[in-house]
Amino acid sequence: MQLSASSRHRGALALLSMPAVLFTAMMVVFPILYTIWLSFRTAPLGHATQFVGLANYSQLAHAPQFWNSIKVSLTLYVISLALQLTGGTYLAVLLFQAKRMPAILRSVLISPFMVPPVVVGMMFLVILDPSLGAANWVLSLFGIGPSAWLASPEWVIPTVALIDTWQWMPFVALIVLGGLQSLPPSVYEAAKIDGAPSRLVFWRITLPLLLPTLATAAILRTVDLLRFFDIIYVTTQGGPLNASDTLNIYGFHIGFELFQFGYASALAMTLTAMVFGVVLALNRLRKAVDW
Amino acid sequence: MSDRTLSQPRREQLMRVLVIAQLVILAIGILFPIAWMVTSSFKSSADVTAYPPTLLFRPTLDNYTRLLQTTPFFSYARNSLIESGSSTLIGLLLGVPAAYAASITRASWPALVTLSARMAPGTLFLIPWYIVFRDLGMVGTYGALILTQAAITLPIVIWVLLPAFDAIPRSILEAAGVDGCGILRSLWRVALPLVSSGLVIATILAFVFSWNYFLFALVLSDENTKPLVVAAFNYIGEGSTDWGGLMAAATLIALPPLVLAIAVQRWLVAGLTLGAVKG
Amino acid sequence: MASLRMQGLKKRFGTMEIIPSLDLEIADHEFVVFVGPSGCGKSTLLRIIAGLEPITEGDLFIGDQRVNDLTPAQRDIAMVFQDYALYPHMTVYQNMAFGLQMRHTPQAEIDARVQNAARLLDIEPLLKRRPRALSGGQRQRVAMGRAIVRDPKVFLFDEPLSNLDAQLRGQVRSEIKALSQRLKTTMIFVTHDQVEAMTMADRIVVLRGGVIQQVGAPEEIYGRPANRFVAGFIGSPSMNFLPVNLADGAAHLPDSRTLNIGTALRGTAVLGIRPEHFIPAPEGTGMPVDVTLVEPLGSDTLVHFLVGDIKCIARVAPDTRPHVGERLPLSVAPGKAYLFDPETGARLA
Ligand SMILES: Nc1ncnc2c1ncn2[C@@H]1O[C@H](COP(=O)(O)OP(=O)(O)OP(=O)(O)O)[C@@H](O)[C@H]1O
Ligand SMILES: [Mg+2]
Repeated sequence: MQLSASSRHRGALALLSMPAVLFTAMMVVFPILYTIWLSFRTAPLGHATQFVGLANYSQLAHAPQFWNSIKVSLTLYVISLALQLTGGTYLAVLLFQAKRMPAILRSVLISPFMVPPVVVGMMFLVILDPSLGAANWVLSLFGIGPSAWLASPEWVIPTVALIDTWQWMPFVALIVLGGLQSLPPSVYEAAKIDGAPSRLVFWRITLPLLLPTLATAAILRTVDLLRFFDIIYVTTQGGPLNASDTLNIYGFHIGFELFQFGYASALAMTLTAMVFGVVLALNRLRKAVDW
Repeated sequence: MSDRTLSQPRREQLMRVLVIAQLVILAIGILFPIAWMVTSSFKSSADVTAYPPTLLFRPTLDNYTRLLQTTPFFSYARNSLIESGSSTLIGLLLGVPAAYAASITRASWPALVTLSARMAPGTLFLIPWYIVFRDLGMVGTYGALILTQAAITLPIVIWVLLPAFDAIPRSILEAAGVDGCGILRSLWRVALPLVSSGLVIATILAFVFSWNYFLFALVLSDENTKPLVVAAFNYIGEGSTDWGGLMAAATLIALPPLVLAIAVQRWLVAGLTLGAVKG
Repeated sequence: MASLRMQGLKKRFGTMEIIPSLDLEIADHEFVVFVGPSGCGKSTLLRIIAGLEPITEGDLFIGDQRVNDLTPAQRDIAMVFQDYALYPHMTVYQNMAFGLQMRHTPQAEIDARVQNAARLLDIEPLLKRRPRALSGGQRQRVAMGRAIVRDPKVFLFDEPLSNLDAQLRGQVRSEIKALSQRLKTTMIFVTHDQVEAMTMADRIVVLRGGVIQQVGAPEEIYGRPANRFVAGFIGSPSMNFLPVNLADGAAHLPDSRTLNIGTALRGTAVLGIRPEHFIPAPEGTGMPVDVTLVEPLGSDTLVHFLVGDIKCIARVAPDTRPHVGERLPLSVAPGKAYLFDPETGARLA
């Protein structure tokens, strides 16, 4: 009796998740398997696919443009993540010290990451225009000379990193603020009584206790940053001179402009493996710094 | 000693002023690009390309009227609405029961799926989808767009609702069971009302991210099913000199997500950072 | 090691006055316990002493030094928090060493002091663990250890036992008492548990609404309560209070019974009798009461009865086992009847 009731219970639960399972199998699992399969084949348009072994992967390894994309993606990743974590922590500490968060301030903070990336690209195209943009005008107010921003091969990646930081630093700040608020206040009082000056309290108590939260924020940003696509596609399409040709931009180019699906699949798999590797490492780190 | 007594509260006051000043500066910096976009959309074509930029100008609706007259803006907006709305609905219909079941059975697959959907680059999914939809003759149909966008919304729904369901004390659900609720009824009558704010957040986030998502529609839509974000991208290519029109389009596209997000800002922050915070 | 003095101490939160004006002296090496009902300002007072809350008005001296404007670090005090407030990311050793490091104590000495304290508290095997891996009682010891290594002028405890189970609480209570005798440091201990207050204190400070009701040794607080509040707060079960009319050395109860207490006072008063000071009287003498409930505790028996509509309790020897409804004659132990002013609550006799 008991057993049949609980097995009926389990059956009902399985039934509840069935639609999602089927959908996932169709839209997520199947494509992943298909891409793996495809990465070992050529798939020329209008012809049957052919098995080519590791040819796609070795082609990747020998393509300078691939290595360029790796460099671009990693540079963008490191700069953006560093800016967003430090900036986000700084902003979060300010918010924490202010104690209250008026609705207007919270609205300002969530606005950037609610704006569609395409729109972000459009608005920064206008603001960062090398000759007529507002950014150069603001710089000139401080006596700084104009920059070509997105049009400069040297500056395009730092500029994209700045744009992404504008969009996501407030998000990181909100996560870190949540972390700050969940720390027990009596620990700070204990540190005061132990005689730690406030700067030391930050470095010795607050920051170590925040590390797991920061690691979480880093993971959330990593998955987006390593796959960077929208804003670059809208603004530079990987240019100038491939200087912003991230892995995902490069992959899109191969797949949907050159229609080399096999080669593009190999690239997508490589990128996925990269993201997976970095996330796993960060997750290790998070566990290691957990208290 | 005695002047320290005086300076102590004053120093605290000074600290507070400094904190607020820094916050104000940062808030202005964050708001500036959005404000620039909105104001530019109301500038005449002479004002919008003036350098140095004109800060005081006579606002005009020209950009908006031109945008609405020369482009099928409303039909793109309808496409966006159909695709985001339907995919959000699918995400909820599939995601809510799945998240509930997973929360009860402590199954880990939904979390894994959410994770892999978040970690894999869009091109990884897009290549097989494109091939399959092409062979089925579905490229450019609403069906293809809604299905692919649902692959965005489903993980969001699960991501937000799984911890919300997890936070319901098991004893409450057991009590519902003892009171004679079956699985479905305890989901509908007990669990869902308890996660109502999570449900609102899941719906809004799913809608917003689907509205904003660009890559899938870029490949899978055609002129008749193109959503706003793709149409706007094409607009950049066509008339990149028409900054006023560009900013008007940008403003209109950004408006729905901003309004939705700000309407639920308080819960939104909690929903977004859920599970990200220890404790 | 230092004495402590509060002069005209006031504390307001916004417009809310929590401590109206407080004067108190605590001697060197003294173990003082603050008791009082919840919300009476015990924690606030302790946090003021620690320097965690600013003083609104008045002065606080530690030794001869006025410390109003000193930071907690400069005051040389140590505090054991109710939730222990251990640093969750540091090991037990690091937790105990942190305060010494902040004072630039040489590493060798830090090590010696931590080892010493760990031995004293019997937590040597735990030194490498993080707080998360400790039981409640172990965390409590570490919190104490963190205070001990500092060798401060004053120890402050804010209800450090309230998160422990009853058995452990009794054990740690005696350990803290023993420790205080060994360390010979001034200690201030906050609790709302009167058993803790009675067993540990050299002197008890009874607070109510931020006002000191009485300061005295435990026996004094128990035996000669200053007013009706103190009398009712200390002792368990609480003292019984009956409105009476005094005449001819006897107290006339509301239901016109009389109780002979031998007093020279006259007029209206509140008669206070502790449950343990009722004694069964020989048949025909004393005050007959109708038993409404009997609670045998083993060591003694609680007898509930009504005087008029006032519920009273008597604590009698365990072999006295009256039945519910039985009529039991009771009298008051000689010299154990307290009389309070019906208006002010001050003790008359
Ligand atoms: N930061 C604060 N702001 C405003 N009021 C406060 C603040 N801290 C305490 N109070 C008030 O001061 C009064 C005394 O609080 P306190 O914490 O000292 O009580 P307590 O005697 O320690 O009580 P308990 O036994 O419950 O711990 C209470 O009425 C409380 O509400
Ligand atoms: Mg308290």
